[in-house]
Amino acid sequence: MKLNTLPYYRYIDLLKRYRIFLLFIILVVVAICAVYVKNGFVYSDKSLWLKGSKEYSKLLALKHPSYNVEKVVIDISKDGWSEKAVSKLKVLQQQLMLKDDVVSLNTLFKQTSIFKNALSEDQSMIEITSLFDADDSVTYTSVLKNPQNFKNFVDGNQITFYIVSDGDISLSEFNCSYPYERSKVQGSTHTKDLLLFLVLFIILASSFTIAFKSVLPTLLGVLFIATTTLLTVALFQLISPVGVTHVSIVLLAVTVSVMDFVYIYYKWHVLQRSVSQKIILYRVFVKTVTPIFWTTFVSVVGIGSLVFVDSHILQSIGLNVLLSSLVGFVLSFTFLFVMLSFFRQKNPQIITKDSSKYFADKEAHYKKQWLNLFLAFSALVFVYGIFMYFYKPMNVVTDTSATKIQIALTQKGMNNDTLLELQNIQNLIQSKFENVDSFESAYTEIEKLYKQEHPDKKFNLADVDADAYSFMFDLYDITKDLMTRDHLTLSIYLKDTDRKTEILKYLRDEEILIQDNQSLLQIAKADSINTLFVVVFFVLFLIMAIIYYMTRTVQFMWIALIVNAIPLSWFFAAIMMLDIPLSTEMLVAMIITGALSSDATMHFIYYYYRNRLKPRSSEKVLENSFLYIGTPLGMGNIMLILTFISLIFVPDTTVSNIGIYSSMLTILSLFMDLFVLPVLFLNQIKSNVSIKGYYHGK
Amino acid sequence: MQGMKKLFSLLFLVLLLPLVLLSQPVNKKQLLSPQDTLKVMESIQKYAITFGEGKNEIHTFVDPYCELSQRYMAFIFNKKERMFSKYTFHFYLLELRGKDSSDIITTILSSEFKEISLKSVMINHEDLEDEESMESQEAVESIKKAAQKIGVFKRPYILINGKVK
Repeated sequence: MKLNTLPYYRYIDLLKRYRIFLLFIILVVVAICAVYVKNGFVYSDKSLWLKGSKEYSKLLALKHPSYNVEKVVIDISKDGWSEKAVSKLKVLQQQLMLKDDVVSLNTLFKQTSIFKNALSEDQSMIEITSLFDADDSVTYTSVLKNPQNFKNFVDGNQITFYIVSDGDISLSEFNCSYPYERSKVQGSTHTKDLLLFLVLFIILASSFTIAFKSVLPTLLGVLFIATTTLLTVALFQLISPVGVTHVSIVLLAVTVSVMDFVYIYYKWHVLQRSVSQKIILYRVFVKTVTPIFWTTFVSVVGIGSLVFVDSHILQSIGLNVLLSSLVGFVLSFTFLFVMLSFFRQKNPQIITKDSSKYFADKEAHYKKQWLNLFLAFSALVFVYGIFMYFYKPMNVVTDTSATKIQIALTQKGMNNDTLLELQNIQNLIQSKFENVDSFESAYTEIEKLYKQEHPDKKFNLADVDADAYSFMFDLYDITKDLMTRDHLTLSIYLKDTDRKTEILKYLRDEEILIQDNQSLLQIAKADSINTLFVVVFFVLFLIMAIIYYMTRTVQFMWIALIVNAIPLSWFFAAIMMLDIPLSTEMLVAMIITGALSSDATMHFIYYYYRNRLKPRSSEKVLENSFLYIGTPLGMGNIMLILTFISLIFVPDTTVSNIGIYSSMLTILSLFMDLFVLPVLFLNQIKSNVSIKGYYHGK
Repeated sequence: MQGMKKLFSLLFLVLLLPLVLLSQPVNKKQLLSPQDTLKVMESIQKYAITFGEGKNEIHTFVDPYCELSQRYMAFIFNKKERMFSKYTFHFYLLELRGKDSSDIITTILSSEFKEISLKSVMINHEDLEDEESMESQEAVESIKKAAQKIGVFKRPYILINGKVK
């Protein structure tokens, strides 16, 4: 057979012929991208979750602002509860009030007292004063006398300030002489970017050198991964409507390109001895293009489908995977092949030859009861995860200190109808959720005023003249604490965050505007869980469909499902058991695993498919599969595990969390791919002679 | 003897009656319905000193020397931009027993610049030179009569939608 009549040969021939020109074009594109790419990555996922969330969009549609409600707990142990402490806290309150970004402050100083100022029988007036206007001694004694009235703000030596703001407030610029606790202020992102890339470079470069005992893969690998990542980020910034580049895009692009590089380079590396330089690239292409195409297909169609979801965070992740996979695929079969065409490897070393033999032997003589036990245990874990999913809602609380929910009515104005709505909401929430501590609203203030005005009468909203109380609120300057842009607000103080998501969902069903970012964030995350499950099931279905299409064997389709579903169900069960809150980091980790695990299955099955008619012993089949598939798989995964583990040392919670979750999931996935997948195949082939066209062993 | 007893009893009753009448508690109820109150207020609105141009009208009886009336004014003027855009304030000057404010009321109501005069007295606590005009006497009397009809029992007497606050 003439070489140039073989499929793909002409393509490889063209690639080699125009390699200088191609390399030049690619490098020009890379240079343009390098100039185009905007500096700095976003580490916080808050804006991504919020943008495009249904509740946030509702606020925007009504031109309603959303606020950050930050809980700051100040420790006054140094002075204890004293007039001195009151005076210092008041200074802080004063400074915060002057800050432009601060919309309102819910603190003990904002607590109102309603009293009848009566100088004589014919000189009297109902007045509302806040502790801020009172003397320090009055504040000090008020709290001592009625600690119950201030329990949301004063708890022993712990003073709580709720800061409602338009932006991030830095407390360091204020005169707060006490230690305080609040959500971490992000450090310089440029330092983090630099550190992140340094860690990625060192780990990947050293891994390539050690794994292949050569400097060549380090040079080619780093060039290839850097190019893929740069192009992916540039395309993302060009296409994405989100406008922010989360750091996870870099990590996803690196992950996809590492695996593509390792599979192709390894194949090229091992074929150096047996195949002539003339056809080596063609052989590498033929052996790798099909599985890499299908894994790209799974990522693009399966995970990429997230771009159609009405949530910016999920759209971003979908677009990340879609672009990473496409760019990785295109550059693998152009740029990488062009680079490989310039080199040859003398005395290529296969460092896993002995270990492959060892594992192949062990796995070929596996004990069936161990396999069954493992599968039964995994099934139990899966059932536990499903049970927990329906029995206990997934934790989406990222900030357990966010015990305040701020909502606003959709209807404008303060009148008896809107006040009645507030009353109904308060009563319903109070009766449905026992962890609600107290409320703060125009309704509660009116109730207090009414009791002061008519101590002998029972409060009845129907008797209330809303205009009169609205005037009182304006007169004593408390309207801004009870209304936002002419919409009545309600602050709900919770004892804990246990049932916060349920409360938020209830509020949403009642068409109430949720105003604070923490709550908006929480409900956006809660909404995304079902979508993610659908995507995970869709990806698993796609893998099964492709495996069936490739092999026409139903049994292999089930094996693919088991191998890919087990790490995810273990991980999910662990999340449910440990009550770890859902985060972008976790999603990225799950997506990385989804993309990676399909890789292994495709490559393994493709190998079997191509070698299905060759009679051999079960050990030989396994040994070869370990050598040709298991080695690059293990290499790539170990490199990624090392990279992810090293990310733990980057001083940023998002990056280190991606590191922790991804390394855990990759370890699980690798274990499944190396030790369970081959055994399951072997089990099927040996025990089920109905699988046609395969050698069933002795 | 019997006659003497009757005489003493009658004398005692005669002496006691004004005491009982004087010691009657001040009526603390609005005498008119909100609608009727608003009608009365409309009739004396020309004697009111008005601030602001908001949609909601607030009628208030104040005594320029009453500390709480002054305090009430101060609350309004502290946030005058917002208050005057949302509300229209009509102030009616009505002397409070024991405040001896009839002269200053007449002076303010006689002034060409009533708003400035009222503010000077109640917010800045300034003294004004005595002035008197026929119109001011008419205003004082009309306000007094209207107050009696409504049953104004305290200062500041704030009426919102015709109801006392």
